[in-house]
Amino acid sequence: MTVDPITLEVIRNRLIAASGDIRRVVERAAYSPVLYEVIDFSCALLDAEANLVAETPGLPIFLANLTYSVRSTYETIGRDNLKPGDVILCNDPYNGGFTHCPDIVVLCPAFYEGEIHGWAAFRGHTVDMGGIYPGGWYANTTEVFQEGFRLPPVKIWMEGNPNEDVFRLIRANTRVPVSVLGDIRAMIAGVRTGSQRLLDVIEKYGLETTLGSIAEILEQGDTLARAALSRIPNGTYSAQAVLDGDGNDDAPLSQKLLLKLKITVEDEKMIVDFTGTSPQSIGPMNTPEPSTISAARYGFKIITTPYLPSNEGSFRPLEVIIPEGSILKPNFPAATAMWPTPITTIPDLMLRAVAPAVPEQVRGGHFGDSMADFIYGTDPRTGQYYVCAEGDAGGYGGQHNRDGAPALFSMALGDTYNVPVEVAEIRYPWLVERFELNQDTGGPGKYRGGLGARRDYRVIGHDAGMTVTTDRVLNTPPWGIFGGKEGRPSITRVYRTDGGEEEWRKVSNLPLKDGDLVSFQTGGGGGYGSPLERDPEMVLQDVINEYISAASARDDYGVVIKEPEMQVDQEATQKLREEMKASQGG
Amino acid sequence: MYRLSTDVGGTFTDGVLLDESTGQIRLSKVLSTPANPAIGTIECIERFDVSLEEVSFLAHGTTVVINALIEGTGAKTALITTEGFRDILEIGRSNRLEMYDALYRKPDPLVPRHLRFGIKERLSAAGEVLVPLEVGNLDQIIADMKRHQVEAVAVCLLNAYSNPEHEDKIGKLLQERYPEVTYSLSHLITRRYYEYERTSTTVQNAYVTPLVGSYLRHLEEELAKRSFENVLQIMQSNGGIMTSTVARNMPIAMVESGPAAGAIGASQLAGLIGYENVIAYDMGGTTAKTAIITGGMPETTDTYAVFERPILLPVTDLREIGAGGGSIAWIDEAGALHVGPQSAGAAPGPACYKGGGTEPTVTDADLHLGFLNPDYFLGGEMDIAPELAQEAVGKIASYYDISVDEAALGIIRIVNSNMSALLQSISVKRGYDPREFALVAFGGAGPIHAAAIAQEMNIPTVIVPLNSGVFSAWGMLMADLRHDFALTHIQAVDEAEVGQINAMFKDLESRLREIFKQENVPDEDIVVTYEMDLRYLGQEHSLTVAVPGNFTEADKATAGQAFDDLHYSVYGHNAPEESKVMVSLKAIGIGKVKKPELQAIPKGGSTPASDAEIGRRRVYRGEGQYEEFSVFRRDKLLAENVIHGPAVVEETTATTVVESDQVCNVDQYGNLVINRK
Repeated sequence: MTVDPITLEVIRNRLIAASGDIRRVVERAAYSPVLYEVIDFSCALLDAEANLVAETPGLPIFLANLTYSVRSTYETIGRDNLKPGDVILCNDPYNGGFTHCPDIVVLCPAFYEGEIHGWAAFRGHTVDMGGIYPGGWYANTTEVFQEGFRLPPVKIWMEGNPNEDVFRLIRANTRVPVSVLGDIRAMIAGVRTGSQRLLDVIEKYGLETTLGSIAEILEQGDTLARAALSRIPNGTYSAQAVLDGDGNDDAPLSQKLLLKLKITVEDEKMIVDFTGTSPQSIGPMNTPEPSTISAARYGFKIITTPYLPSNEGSFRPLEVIIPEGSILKPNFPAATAMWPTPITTIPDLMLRAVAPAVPEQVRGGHFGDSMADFIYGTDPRTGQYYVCAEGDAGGYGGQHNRDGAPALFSMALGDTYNVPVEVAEIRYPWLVERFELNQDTGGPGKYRGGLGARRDYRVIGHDAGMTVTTDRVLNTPPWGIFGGKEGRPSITRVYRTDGGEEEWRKVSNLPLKDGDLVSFQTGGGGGYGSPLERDPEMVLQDVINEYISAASARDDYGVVIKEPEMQVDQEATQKLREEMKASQGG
Repeated sequence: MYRLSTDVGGTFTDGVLLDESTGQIRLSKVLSTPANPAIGTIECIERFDVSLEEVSFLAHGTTVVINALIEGTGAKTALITTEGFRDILEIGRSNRLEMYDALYRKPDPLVPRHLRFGIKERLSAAGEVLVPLEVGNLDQIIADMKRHQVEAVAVCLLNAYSNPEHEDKIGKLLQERYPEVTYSLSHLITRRYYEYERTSTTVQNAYVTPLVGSYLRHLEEELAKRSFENVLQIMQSNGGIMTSTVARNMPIAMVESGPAAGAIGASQLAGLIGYENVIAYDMGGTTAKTAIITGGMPETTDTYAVFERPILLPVTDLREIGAGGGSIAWIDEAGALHVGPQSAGAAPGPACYKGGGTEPTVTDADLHLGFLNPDYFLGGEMDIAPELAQEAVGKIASYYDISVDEAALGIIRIVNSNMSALLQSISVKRGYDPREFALVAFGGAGPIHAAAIAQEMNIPTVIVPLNSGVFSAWGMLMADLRHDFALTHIQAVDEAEVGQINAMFKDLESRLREIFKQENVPDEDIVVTYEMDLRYLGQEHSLTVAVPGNFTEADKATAGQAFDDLHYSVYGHNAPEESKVMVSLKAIGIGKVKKPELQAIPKGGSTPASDAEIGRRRVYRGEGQYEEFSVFRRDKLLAENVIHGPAVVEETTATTVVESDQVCNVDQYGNLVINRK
């Protein structure tokens, strides 16, 4: 049926608000800060056929992948075996969960007159679901069995009542049952509210009008995505990146994992083809297929309709091809703990591929990895064991008319916040000695890449341990585009009290001694356009502001600065730039 | 004697004059003068034509701070901070607010990197001096600042919240060696941790200090010329007022002054007529703002920001959406109809304003439907054109091939639905049930839509105050002086020494009293209350509970229990057995101001006088149905009059709609109280 445009808009806003209410209820009731501070979750309303109807932004790499969890539920439990008042839970990376074990999915069907007419869904990170060490993030597992307790879709509530068997199973398999079960209860409350909100709409506007509106909303999502695609010239666009691999630097499990993609834009359709991507890794850098699709959808969204709400229709013009048994579609029981690492690069790579077609919508590469790090030990001030889990923020690439953004969290993360220095010094037995932008990390360009940052922690009064996993260092530093240069890649340096200095990309459980200094140094973004075309006055300002050194001004940008008056030496600059162009040309 | 208030808004500057001897209220409304809001303010005051000698109290709310922050017209500002941390201001919290925008960047910092100076010094979180302040560094910094002709300096050192010694020393040296700049020290603005937020607040304060200084000087000179002899009071974002002397050093505290005044007005009014829990609903030209008031006070938040730049001070917690009278109805590429957030603003304004606007707005739809009276807009002072409204709304109608009436009704339904969705989510987030609240509606467009929104949300009561179109200005007359001081001190409550807690409270209190002394508030009018931010061990988020200023051993348990209860009501669970940690101590100082008494209006019978009902209007209700609305003049209504919906009540600055299944009672003060039949 056709719904009038007014009722349609009212219902659209109600459904978007309903998916927001799932988030609000969970935030209100959740136990652990990882849910409400790191915003490591996503929530959505779906129709009975598992099409995404409305979504509330959370972690962007979770975009639109709850669809697959609903499908797994139908396949595993059977549609006919679902009853009003049931709530489903799953976390299996190969059945319903599709990320890694700590991520829990909770789903609640909306029954109206005895039939399912939609779903409320939530995916969120819990603190611990078992596995070899606490936390679920491992650089060197080789099978999913090592990574935690797995649940395929199961009924955690049955016909309006908690299924205590499942609660007991989870309690027995997590190291922190109070917090994990508390978070799961919050998620259940969230999806039950979302499901009820959908029923409220059906009750108020009628089933036929509601379903008609949902169909129309998806149709409009499709139309808007096609309209955006029609503004991208037809063609085939390719890009690839080589990841550094998993395991530790001193015991690698894989090396040079190839991420390859080919984007075909044909009228109002886009195909993203990952053929040629490396076979699955023996280590945990494997991304289950639905999460790879999610990453491709993320790239598609930022290229087409970044400011519009998402629904299944928005992704109808997108087709994704993923080779079987690759790191982007691994076969059971490949390990998946580091599933976000490969796909953090996918949306970035998609921007790189389409750059020739839409030069004003893209930027140079970003620093490329969330740089997850963990420091842990016993706080000498309290005698309590502590674990600090963080990501680090780095630079984004230059744009067609301005420099790149400095020090933002990676594309895998969204509205995530760093830990303030003043908070860190209270919470952890460290002294933060520096938190600054790191000079010369931004890739030179007509528009420079944003700077990476440097954050230095000195361990005080105790010995500690550290795990860090950083990719995009050796093989694919942050790339420049249209003649822009690479940004400097990320690295972790350890300065020992005895004067020793070490560099690490990936390392597990590295001992830190009292007084050692750990310096997390994130990469900068890649440049946009040739640095020889950068306005010399902007180069001068960068030197005055110490974003770049005078040496970089001369060597990368061909700009000679007269000191101490701090002026551009026009003549010398012109001469130097001509020489540099000539030598590049030759 | 008179009491007077002026509220500068984006479009209009409103004034309210209260005659203390009779309780009578007069209003004035002039166009704002954004280039120098003082001009419009003086014009607004002159309209009353009273001698300012007879004005005993003058409160002023202004957009001068927010405009400077939005337009980037503040002073050339430098920042002095701890060596190694000068980029805190630029890095911020590293969050990507627009996560799907590939080209997202945060707004540039207000201080460029070469004017951000690191100085050698270091304090620990506990306030111990780890590296003494190297004063020698400062001479070089001052030389650099002079070379760059810096006009204002912000000083924010790491951990200075726990020990202000180094900041104080820098302040003293700046005063001696660089007297021509104004400077702001972070610990005088707030002594809470979170270095980025504190730095951002201090920088924004420094940035607007020179400008606000000259604005206030200009305004006070103009007032003095007109024989004003009393103290100019400035409305703050926290819902209180402060004297202009204090405002000169803390201008950032006035960033949201107008909207805060509306919330204060709503809470004061609700209290006077017996409602504890209300939702203030202020719908103006471009946005609709709401604030939740429980227990008689608007809630404040610490997470306010302008242009993503945080301000770590208590600001009245206002949620807004881009849905005002000027919000534009538009059709997207897929053919879907939306309303807002784009607004026709003051220029060109809604199509019916005849300012050249051709896009259909909410006001055009209200006019077309018959909710607004073309002959009585702003009491007949403004000439509006229904045919232009019809033409504009007609564009929507012809696109969908529906009647203009249907299109106009559709625009209103969408805007009301967006509003109720916002109210619902605020309530869900805080764990409130909207059915336990009354809606206080004001602003130019609030009372037209309030009744329908209340109906949709099952809110039982709508209150439309007298003079609802200038309600924020009225609210300023009801505000007390208020100052907030906070101090971060993290320690398990059980381990804390009562003596130390009381010493910290005493310190906060003495700072409050010092400020009140500058403001000439007599001791007997000062009320200080104390609060503690608590959390469970291991949690990051804290909640605020009230505690006595003379804190005893027994109060530890009382405060802990109050926290457990609050945690349950906010988050739906608690853990009484867990140890509690205090995060911040807060003192709130109120300097009581004598409030005007509400003036009762003459009493009438339940049936309004015959001259109150001025006609009937046919309004489209959907599905081809029209309904006759009775039209009343609000100034002819008497206390105890009862109006049965459907009805429209018109006044100079606003129009109230009473829906068919609602009944409206005029209370003893002339407020309209609308309930379900």
